[in-house]
Formats: sequence, structure tokens, C-alpha cells
Amino acid sequence: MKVDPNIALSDTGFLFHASTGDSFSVNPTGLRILQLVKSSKTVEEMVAVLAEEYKVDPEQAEEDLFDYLQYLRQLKILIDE
Amino acid sequence: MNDITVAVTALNAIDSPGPGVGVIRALRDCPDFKVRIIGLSYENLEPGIYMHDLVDKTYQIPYPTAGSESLKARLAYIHEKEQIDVLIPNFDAELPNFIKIASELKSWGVQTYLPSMDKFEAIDKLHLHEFGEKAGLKVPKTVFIADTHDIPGLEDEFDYPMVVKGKYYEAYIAKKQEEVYKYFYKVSEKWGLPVVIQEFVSGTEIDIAGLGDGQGQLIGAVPMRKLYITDKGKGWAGVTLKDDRLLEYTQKFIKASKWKSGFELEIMRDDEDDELYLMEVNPRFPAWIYTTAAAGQNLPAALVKRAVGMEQAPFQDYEVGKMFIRYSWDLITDIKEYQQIATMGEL
Repeated sequence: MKVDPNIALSDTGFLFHASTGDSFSVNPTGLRILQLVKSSKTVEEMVAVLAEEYKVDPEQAEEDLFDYLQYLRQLKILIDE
Repeated sequence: MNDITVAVTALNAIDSPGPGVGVIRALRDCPDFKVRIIGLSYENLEPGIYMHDLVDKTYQIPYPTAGSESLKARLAYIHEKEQIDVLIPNFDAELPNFIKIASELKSWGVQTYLPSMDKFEAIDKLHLHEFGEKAGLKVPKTVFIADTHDIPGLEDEFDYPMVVKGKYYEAYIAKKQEEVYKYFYKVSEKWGLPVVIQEFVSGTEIDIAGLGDGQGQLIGAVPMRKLYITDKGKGWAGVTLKDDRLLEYTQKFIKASKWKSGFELEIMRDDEDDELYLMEVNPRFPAWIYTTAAAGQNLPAALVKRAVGMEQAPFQDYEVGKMFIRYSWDLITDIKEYQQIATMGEL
């Protein structure tokens, strides 16, 4: 899983898909998740980081992360390696 | 620096805009020549006529229905006064007349950069399906009808919705037979017969503006996706895209068509299977053409340079994410100017 290389991601959470013209805005949590994906973290590593940074239960973090990653896949923001 | 006089049509920068003003704006941006612009108009209220910072002088020309002889006579008068170097027609409906007289214009010293009539007809709405099959480019299934008696039989070949298109402009999506009748009357009244019936393809529309040299070489191409579409189906905002597949597709189109002139490919990218369908080829620059210049490919200037024999190598790159946003503006003029163009046919 990786961020589609055609996606430009700004520091403010604005995404522009250069081959479709789609654009999205993500909130700071979404931006953090995308940054973690871009830094090639595994899902387990991402869960640990999010649970720590957002002070949530790891199980809850995993569930929310899984839902969000699915959503990003549907939007073709994330693609399989 | 060369001084070049360029005549340009389609000054109708209205809500369904002609490309003329965008073409002129791009020409004025080119640092390689100094340009004098002669506007050629059909209607007295085409906004470009009154844009004196863009258009130096405008002349009325006869409607395409008046024929090529009438056009030639008018252009002879204009050329005598203005010494036109290059003429860029920008309306689909006027192109056949300009193509017919292109060699005569050349003998006067007026360069056009136009395809031959057979190349022009090969990619028009009536022949696009046939062209697509030969070129290996998918075109939605298309039939032509000249009578309402043919409408009930369409259901054997097409599912609803189906697309009803005018010979030159306009397209409507018909969801039931009554709507096919309605749109048949609407577009045939305006654009004549036959009416084009096309399979509906759902997906994302992408437009590619380009310039071909007539020998199968692509001089430049910029893909764009409309971000805001008006109720007339016109792009009111758009953004340039990066997609090598679209550029390869355009190369394929140019190799097969040997198109000479500006053009716009209307492509539908099927959301399900990512397949590209060629919906239409507009045989001239689109109204958003200035965006290509802003993105690094000044295609109107490239056309002029090639027409007059200046060097213009094919473009290699353009800026992705360059946007246009159209806007409305009340241009203030005086009744005297309107009177001048209405009564004298020039301003």
C-alpha cells in the first residue's frame, strides 16, 4: 500500500491528483496518517504511533485506521504496491 | 523581432465562448514576435470586437451559409487594407469555407494552418466512429438519423440513456424516448440534419488541446479536466493534468489523422475499467486555449510560427496543476462603437 505517486500532498492537508484532477482536503489526523503511509510504516507501526500521539486505545486506533485506509483506497488515493 | 498580422475569428467571449479571445491573448504573450490582431466577427455584440487592448481592428465577415465565394470577396477587401500574414479560423461551422479558399489565400500571402477537406471530414462527427476503428481508438457506438421515424428503432441498438447531438454543436442526454424526440427537434432545428445518436459512456471527461503539423507529428498537447461546468455544459474552471496515457493517446490520434491545425480531443475515461473513449474531436483550438500558454505550451503562437516558417520544435513539457477560472466582466463601451460596427461593418 502506498500513496498514488500522482498525488501531491501539501503540508496543509490539500491533496491534488495530477492525473484525474481530483482534489481533497484532509484534517490534521488524516494528514498524519498519509504522512505515516508515505514514510512506509506498516499498519502495526501506524497503530502504535496514532495510539501514542492521540492517546487512544490501540484497538480503537486500529479500527479507525482500517476504516480510513479503506476509504482512501476507494478514492484511489492509496494504491497497492 | 518580426511583426506579424494575424486575423482571428470567434470573438464571442460569452457564456458559451468561442476560442478567439483566448487565442489572441496567447498570441500577445509570445515574446518571439510582435502581433497586430485583426478580428473577424459575425455578430455586432461579440465582446472581442470591443476589447481594444487585444484586438486592433475588427471586420464583419459573412455567415458561413453565404458560402466561400462571398467570404473570399470580403477577405480580399480586408487583406488589401490590413495585409494579413496568418488567418486562424476558430468556429467549426466556418472551417469548410476557409479550407476551400486556403490555397487562394496562400497565393495572396495569407497563411492558414489548416487540414485538407478530406482530413477535416475524416474526424467529423459523421465519420469519427469509422476513424476510431481504423486508428484503434475506441469511439462510442454512433448512428445518424435524419427523420423522427428512425427514433423508435433506436431502442434495438441503444440502451437508455443515449446521447443526442447536433451536427456541429450541442449534446443532450435522453433518458427516455420522449426526450429523444424533444432533443432531435431541438438540435436539428439549430444545426440541421442528420442528428447524431451516440451510446452513453459514464465516466470522467478529459479534454486535450493540441496542435498537429499535418505530417503526423504532434507539436504540443495539454490535457485538462473541467472542475466547474455551466448549465450549457461549458467548462468554467479547469486544471491541467499529468497522464502519459493521455499524451500517448493524442500521439496515436495525430499519427492516424495527420491533423494540421489546432484541435481538442474530448475523451471520456470510464470510471469502471479506466478505458478511454474518444467522444469528439473539435477541429480547432478550444475556448480554454490560453491555459496551454499559461502552462508552458503556447499552442496558438506555435501555430503562427509554423505558418510563417519560424522555428518551433515540438513541446516536451507543461506545468501540471495550472488552473483557469473564467469570470464575467461588464465591458463598458459607447453606442458610437456599436453603431460603427453595425453600420460600417468594421471597428
